[in-house]
Amino acid sequence: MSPRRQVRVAPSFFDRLDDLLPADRSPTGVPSTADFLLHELPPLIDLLAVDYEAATLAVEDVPEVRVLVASGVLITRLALYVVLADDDSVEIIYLEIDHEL
Amino acid sequence: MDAPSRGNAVRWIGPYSLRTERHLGGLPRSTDGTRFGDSRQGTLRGEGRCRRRVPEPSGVLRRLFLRRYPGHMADAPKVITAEELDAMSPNQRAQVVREHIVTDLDHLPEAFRQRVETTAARLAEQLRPVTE
Repeated sequence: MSPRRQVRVAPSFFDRLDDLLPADRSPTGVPSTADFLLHELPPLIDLLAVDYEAATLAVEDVPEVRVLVASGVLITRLALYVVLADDDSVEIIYLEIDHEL
Repeated sequence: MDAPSRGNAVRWIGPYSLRTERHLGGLPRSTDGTRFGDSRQGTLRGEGRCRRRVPEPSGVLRRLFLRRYPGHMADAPKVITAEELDAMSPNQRAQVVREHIVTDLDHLPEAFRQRVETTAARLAEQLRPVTE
């Protein structure tokens, strides 16, 4: 079993989250930033900590950044962009959300 | 009763095979034997209700099934509402999220896949040290 890595979230991630999701949960089902941070993100962080390589995908010609793509939990699709730091910890640097079905 | 020989072992492990089936992701078994139960149980104990085919409000069965067995209904992703997640335990939430991890970029719609690749390339460009 691989050792558990430390996972950090960069400020750029939170800036992006504020751009993508509203502060309050909407009646049409769009989750709020708090919903995302409370429900969606913790299991993803846990997954990155436990199994970084298997949970993330390499992007062609972009070896520096890996992507964790999750589909259909609170939102249709999301992509977490992560990098491996010098101290072997995982840093989440950016977020992409797709609301299209 | 004598211990079972190898020849009739299948009959002896019958109840355990049901348990195995459940553990492998088969249909859930209800506690009252009326819905979502094993087919044999349903026939014996819930026959009347099954045959009457009482109509369910749209989506109720699907929601109940997905709440207990997320990810077993279909290949297409189903968006779970924040209210549904609120009702789950932390372990259930973690399991749901794990089951929704995409393992191949080619499984994504073309537009989103391109967006992911473009963004990754842009981020990598920003991360590279500036050299003269």
